[in-house]
Amino acid sequence: MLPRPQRAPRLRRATPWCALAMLLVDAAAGCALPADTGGPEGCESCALEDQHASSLGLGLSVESTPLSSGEDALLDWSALGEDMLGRPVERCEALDLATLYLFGDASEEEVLANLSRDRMGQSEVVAQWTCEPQGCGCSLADFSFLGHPLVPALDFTTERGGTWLLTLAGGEASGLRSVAFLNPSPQPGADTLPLTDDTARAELELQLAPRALEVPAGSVDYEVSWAGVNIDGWGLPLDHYRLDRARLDRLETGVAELSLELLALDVLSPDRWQAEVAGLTELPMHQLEGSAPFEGVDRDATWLFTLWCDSCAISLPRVTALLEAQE
Amino acid sequence: MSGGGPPRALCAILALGSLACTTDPARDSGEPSLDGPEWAIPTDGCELSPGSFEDVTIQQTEVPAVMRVSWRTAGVAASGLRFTNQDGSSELVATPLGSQGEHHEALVIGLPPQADGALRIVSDDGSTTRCSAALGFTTGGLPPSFPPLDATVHMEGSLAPGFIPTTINAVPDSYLVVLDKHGRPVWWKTTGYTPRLLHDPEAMTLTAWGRDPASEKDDEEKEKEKENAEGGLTSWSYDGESYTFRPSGVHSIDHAALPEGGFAVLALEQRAYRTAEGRRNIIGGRIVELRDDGSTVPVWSVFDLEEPDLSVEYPVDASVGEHAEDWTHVNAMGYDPVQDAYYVSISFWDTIARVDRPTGSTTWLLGGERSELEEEGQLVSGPHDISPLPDGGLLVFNRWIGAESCAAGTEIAIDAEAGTARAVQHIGTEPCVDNPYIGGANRLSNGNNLMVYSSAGRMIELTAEGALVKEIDLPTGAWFGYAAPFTSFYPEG
Repeated sequence: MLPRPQRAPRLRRATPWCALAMLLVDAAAGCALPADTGGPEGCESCALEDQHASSLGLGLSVESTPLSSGEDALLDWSALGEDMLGRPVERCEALDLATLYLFGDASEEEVLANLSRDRMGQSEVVAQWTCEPQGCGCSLADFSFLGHPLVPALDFTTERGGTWLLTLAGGEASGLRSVAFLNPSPQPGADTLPLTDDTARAELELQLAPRALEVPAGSVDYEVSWAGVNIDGWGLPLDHYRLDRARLDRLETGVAELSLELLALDVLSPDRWQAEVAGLTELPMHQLEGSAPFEGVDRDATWLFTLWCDSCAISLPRVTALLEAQE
Repeated sequence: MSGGGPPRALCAILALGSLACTTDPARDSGEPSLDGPEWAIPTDGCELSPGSFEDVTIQQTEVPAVMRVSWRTAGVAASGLRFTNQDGSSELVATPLGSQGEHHEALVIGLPPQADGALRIVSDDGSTTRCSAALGFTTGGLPPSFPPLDATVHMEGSLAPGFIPTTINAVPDSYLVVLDKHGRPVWWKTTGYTPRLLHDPEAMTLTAWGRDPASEKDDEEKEKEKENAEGGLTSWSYDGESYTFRPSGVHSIDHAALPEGGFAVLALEQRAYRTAEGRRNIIGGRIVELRDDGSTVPVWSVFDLEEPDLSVEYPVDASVGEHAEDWTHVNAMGYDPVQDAYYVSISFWDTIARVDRPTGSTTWLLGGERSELEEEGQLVSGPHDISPLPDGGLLVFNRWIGAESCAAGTEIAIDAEAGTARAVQHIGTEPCVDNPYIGGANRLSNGNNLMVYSSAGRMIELTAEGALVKEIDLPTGAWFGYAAPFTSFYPEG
């Protein structure tokens, strides 16, 4: 008879007060971008490929707060005015899904590294609990999973170990809005974890691809296809089915500034157009909708084409490419 | 209730094999072809006769990976399909030939999303078996919110054939899903939380617990009591376009199909006790049968075994509307049609109860302080799903919470006459997986074992000798329900 599977020895690690993960994906640098031509007449189906897709480096800095081991505590996000991607939090009550994860063997740095790549595995999670807040906070004892309440005296203890991550979602913006590490401490600690705009912050570095995609100038009678893009902005295999939204921004900003300011895209972009693309791998550009009709790209501005996954945890473009008008 | 897949295909092969595709703006991605891969669909036992089949259409259904094929035979005949995946990664399937007639329809189910498939129509008019040319088609894609599955096959040749119906619970959407042997989704439907999806090849349905789909638009999720009151079993057609809903009025934990039709439900049972300190709501569990005649028949209750000890304060169950204490934590059931017996996991007792279905009596308790069978070592610890085995044994998923070992399956041999039970084997991997919630162990058709570490979002298939055949992982925040493997979507024969 086989012996019962045994638990692997668990290593204890020092938990940093604040962790920072910065992942930079291989990318070719370049500012003066050559463009692919679609032929003398311009392309009717303009094919994005990996060479056009830019790389993203997402860094998350997340505070780790000691709370008294075995004691209940209030997780309070009433002071949150901006989420970790810099998007305004309209009303703190709108953040209506709080989840606590207990990772067994992953350190805070490892959790952040995986979170930054939107590639966290559930098998790392020892337990999770959710809370549907009645206001702008939840106590630890308000969390439960399938009827099993989180019992701070049993679950939130130094002895149990592990890495505790709080995630907040909800409101008008997609994806996670804020995250925080909780650290059960043997020393008497605070009984409240106040989440502020500084609790979690993202830094984003965009490394534009060496080639822009050349498309017909002043025309909407062509489509952009991304079937040939196999790698996402994180340098990982692209799940095409997860892309649900395309966006085209007309920017006054130069390419160099754009690399540093992608998180401020909404502010930088005087004109933008969007389209739902769930299940598609190409977009007829006349389907883009915005506050003004889309009349085609020109050479007077920077044109940024992005593809998004609004149901993913990290609400950042999966594919980012520059379009260049072919005269 | 539309599935969020890519555009649909709507093409027709007209008389004498000429191909016509109608361009439906919403359905224009299919590429049926008379030059389909002949190699993929053998013509064994049939005469190639493309002209015998007319008005052929291949169309995606509400479940984008499921294709509806309709056609007309040149004369009265029984007719069906042979189909597979052009890359050879799916097994060749032959659907039943169906009834005699000229107009025919069948569903292609079991292929992964965005797969290039090939099919051949087969007919039998009583004297000659004919088949069409091979036709190509492309299945639809997954919706964007479907959690990405990380599936790795380590031993292709050792994969158990068949399918795994389960549930994937996630934010923003949860899914009923059927995975193929490689771990690829072949059928899916959005749902609220539900633990188990059962397949019925005769009815060609997939059944899960939940709210009435007609009330999906309600602001339901926060109204637990309403959910309990309106819960029931929904049986979906394979094409996802129709369903039957059986309301029950009970708070289901698990369910099993009954051989004569209908379902048995393991449900929470709440009783009120008056004490000196006031009223206490105590939760146990019971089995009720939802029979095909519409009746609801109580079979068994854990309260029949004993009364709760009111000197003890039991953990709160946060899943019910009012303050209630979880006395036993009944959490899963199995049904053995050969023995006509139920098995109930009573987790807080570390016990499995065997219930004789005809009488509703408890035959024995196994495990924990109440065990009535003599055990060789501890066999039951924090049990969850229970799979009866053909030899009368059980495959039990033990969570071993707080123990040196962690979650594993235990195959248990039971000699009821001698009153003994022993472990045949423990099934799992090293290092093992912590899995505090849900979980199952299933015996597959080729003798492999499927371990479902539900809350860890992980499934693994192991050979009978314990070698890792495949593993499937979910991203953080997503987790599995139970699995109930089956070998074919179509009725035998």
